[in-house]
Amino acid sequence: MQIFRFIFKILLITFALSLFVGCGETSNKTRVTFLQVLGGKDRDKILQEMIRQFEQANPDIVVELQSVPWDQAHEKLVTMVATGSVPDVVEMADAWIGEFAAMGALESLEPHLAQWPYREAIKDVTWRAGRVYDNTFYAFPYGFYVKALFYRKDWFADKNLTPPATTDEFVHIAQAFTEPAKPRYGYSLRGGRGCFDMATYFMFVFNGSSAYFDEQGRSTFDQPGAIRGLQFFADLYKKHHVAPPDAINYGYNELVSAFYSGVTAMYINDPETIKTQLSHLGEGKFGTAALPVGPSGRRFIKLGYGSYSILRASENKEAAWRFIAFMNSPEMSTYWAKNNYMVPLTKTGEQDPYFQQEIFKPFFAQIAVPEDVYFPPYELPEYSAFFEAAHIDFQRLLLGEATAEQVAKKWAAELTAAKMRQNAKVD
Amino acid sequence: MLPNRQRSLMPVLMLAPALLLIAVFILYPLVKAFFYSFEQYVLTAPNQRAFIGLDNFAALADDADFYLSLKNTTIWVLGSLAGQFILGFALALLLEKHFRGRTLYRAVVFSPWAISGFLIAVMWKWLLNPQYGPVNQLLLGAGLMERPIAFLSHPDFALPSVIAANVWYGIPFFAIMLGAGLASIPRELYQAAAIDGAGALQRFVNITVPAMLPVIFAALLLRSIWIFNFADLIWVMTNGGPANKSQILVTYLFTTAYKNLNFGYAGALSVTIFLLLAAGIGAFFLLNRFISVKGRQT
Amino acid sequence: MKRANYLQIFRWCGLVIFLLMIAAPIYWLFITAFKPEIDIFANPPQYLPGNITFEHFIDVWFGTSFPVFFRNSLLVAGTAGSITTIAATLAGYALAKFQFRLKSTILFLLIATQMFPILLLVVPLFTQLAAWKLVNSLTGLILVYAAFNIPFCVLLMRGFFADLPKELDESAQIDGCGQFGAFWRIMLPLSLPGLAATLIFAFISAWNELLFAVMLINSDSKKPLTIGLASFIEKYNISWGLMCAGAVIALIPIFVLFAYILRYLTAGLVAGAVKG
Repeated sequence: MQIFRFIFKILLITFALSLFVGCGETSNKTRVTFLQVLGGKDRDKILQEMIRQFEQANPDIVVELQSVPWDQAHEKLVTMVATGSVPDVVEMADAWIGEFAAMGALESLEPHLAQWPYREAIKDVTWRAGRVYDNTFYAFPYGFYVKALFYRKDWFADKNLTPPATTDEFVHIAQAFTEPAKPRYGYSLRGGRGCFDMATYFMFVFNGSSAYFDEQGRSTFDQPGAIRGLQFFADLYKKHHVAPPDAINYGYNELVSAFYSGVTAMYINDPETIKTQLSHLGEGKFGTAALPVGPSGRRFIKLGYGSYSILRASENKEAAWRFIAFMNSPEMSTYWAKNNYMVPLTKTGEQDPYFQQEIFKPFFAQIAVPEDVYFPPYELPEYSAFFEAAHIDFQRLLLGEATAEQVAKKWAAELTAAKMRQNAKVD
Repeated sequence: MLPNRQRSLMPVLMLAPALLLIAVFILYPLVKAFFYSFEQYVLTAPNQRAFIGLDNFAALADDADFYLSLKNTTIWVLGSLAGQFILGFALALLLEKHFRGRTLYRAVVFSPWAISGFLIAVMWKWLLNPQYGPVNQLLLGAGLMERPIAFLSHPDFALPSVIAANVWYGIPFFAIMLGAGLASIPRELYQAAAIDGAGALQRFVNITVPAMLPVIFAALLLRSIWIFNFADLIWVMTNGGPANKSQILVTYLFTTAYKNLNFGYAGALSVTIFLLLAAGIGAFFLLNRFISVKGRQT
Repeated sequence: MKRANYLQIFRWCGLVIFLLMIAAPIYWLFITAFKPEIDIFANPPQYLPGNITFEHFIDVWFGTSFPVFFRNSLLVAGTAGSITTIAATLAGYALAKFQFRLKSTILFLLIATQMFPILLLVVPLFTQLAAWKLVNSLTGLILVYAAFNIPFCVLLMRGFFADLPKELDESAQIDGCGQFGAFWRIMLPLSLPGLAATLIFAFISAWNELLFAVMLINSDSKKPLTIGLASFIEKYNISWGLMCAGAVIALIPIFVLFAYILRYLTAGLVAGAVKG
């Protein structure tokens, strides 16, 4: 009966192992669970340090940090909300706010916020960012993301070039670096998941406006300027071939890795990626610059952000709020922004000596002009799903199966319909 | 003889643990998910949940993405199955005779079976990368191509590439299954045929294949269901792209359920997948019976 | 004799081609685990590791929660594999050796459970588990894995028992063993290969599962290995070295199990499938 002995052995070992699992600490402290969705071992360490300080200041609360890999985060949170078995605090991506607020999953933070001592210290845009849905503060931003141009400083120096100031220059410089045989390309174009952000950038700077909708609530995406912008973006791949052939499937990870693995000379993304480039390329090999302006002579900067939200189904809302309030206090939020490479929450945070480094300057300079800054329509419950599916249409455009006009019209129709539904609900 | 009562109780007791687990953890959620398909059930509109009859199915019938995914699924299942089966069978035949180091050889060639689909997908994505992936480098180095091919991003190569990775992943399964089947064919049959002067090919066609038919059918049946519902490779390697060129039904289901949050529609899609598989398997059984009847006649 | 020689050459060529084809990606995974970070993205790629380093293994084992994940996976896959094997053996025997009503219904049910996409079962199953406080619990994960592997394993075991000559069973009963005695003392020992195959199948399936693990487990202290490996893919960064080292470590228990069971295995999987 060899096999039975074997199964018996396995059971015995597993039983022994299980003895080690069950011994969590039993105490009468309030337990707050915090789900972070942008998992990662460095990020975990920073958060754990912040949690340690919080627990020291609040001995009656313990915080359990839970992480889920970014690629599986949305499904996980959807499942948790759909089944009512949620954490107390969740890290909320900007694009998800409308969706989860519409699901009735999020708790309004307004009453707590009214009592919060640091209201004056945080950036004014925070209020708009937190209140995108129903003008209610469902998500408390912890810092902001702004896109800028990353370029290979060493390669630019070799060719005696400076970062492009306009979209026309952008094409020429990208062409100058493109040598498929090497293989080397000018630009890490994002054709896969999340390409919508970049498409929007070019559509807006060609159209000269960052309004998503006109006064009647119709999307501006099918306006002639917007279509030209989309065409320009697609032509980088289709006509000028300054992007790698596999860029059609690039998501956030691939576009960044194409840069540090020496395939591309430029990409456009968040300051968070500085950390990744530093770990692979080291200092001095790359720089950042403001985004190129379009034919309209303007640039428009999307303000992205991560937030903390309290779940409506949470049973520890008081303790959860105390945790968020601590995490977003000026000192902690600046600590977080510094370690996480993002634009800090407070008005004065960017005066920290740390942010005086050259690499951060373009990010701050771009948002110093308030009329250039815009928010996508995060209030639409369908925005997240739309954003996640937009690359399929864009890929059709890159493959020549659809024209820029067709794609722009399709997007405009979907956004207009979502907007109309939203308006009907409000009225 | 044993009393009747004991006779009827015994199988019930033996089946109980398995059926209990299946009923609680599979059948019960399955029935619930089945009823989604008749509901308007969009997570972002929790107050508008309602019974809508067959509307979800009607919408599915008009969905161009559904038909594209269906077409891709057919190619995906047949392509993967054919590749896995042919190569797995070949490997099983090669491994039939003993040679020195066979155990080690087996351990190496069966090892993909032990790796998770997710990791396989991540590895293959890297191997096929056009700039720093070894596959392109080797093909370029061997002079077989002039410039690198972006296998996973090319509209014509994306689906064949994920199929190739899936074939690689599935060879061990067929090699193990069919190898054991080969081992159970009585040696005397071959010896008799050899005395009759039959060549290697004749022996293969007249002895090996007929004796293996039941094993082959069982393996193909189980594997086709499995491949049909296997989304990991495509999800990680191409995300269904470019432009849905490698989207299959289960990856499309993932999008409808977890991106669009339309569980009613996802339910209709799942029921349709179930019915399609049931029809396919029904046809498979008929074919099986037809072949075995014909085999007996000749 | 000349023909035989050609066949021999053909056979060896085939073996070499298969070895290269199947082993190459695995080889790549292995050497990446031993390469220093800068060599991993070397262009052109390094096919032979220049500098061998163990830093990724040290980092992954001592610098992350990997030992905890590893222990959890052992616990989950071991228990789930054992439960699956025992339940499938009993059910497979009942389906192979007894005649009773609803038998074909049960067989149909077993195949049918394999055809509905698992993905959509997540939400209803989660609701159920939440009601029983089995979310974020290894017990919940074990029961789910056991349940999901049982149908295939029952079919496997059923084919196995069906293969054994009926006379054995009958003579054992006449000898006074009784129905259970016949199963326990005669039939079960004869089906060891099937048990081995079933156990390894159920173990590997539970060991490598990702979807339910992500959905059902929240706490770091309860995560299995698959989530640990998936976590090396961050939003902007993939820690290739750590991931490959982790993957190599994850293979060890399976190879140990394989080595222990291999002698039964090849005979095992197939005989079950024949009648399945």
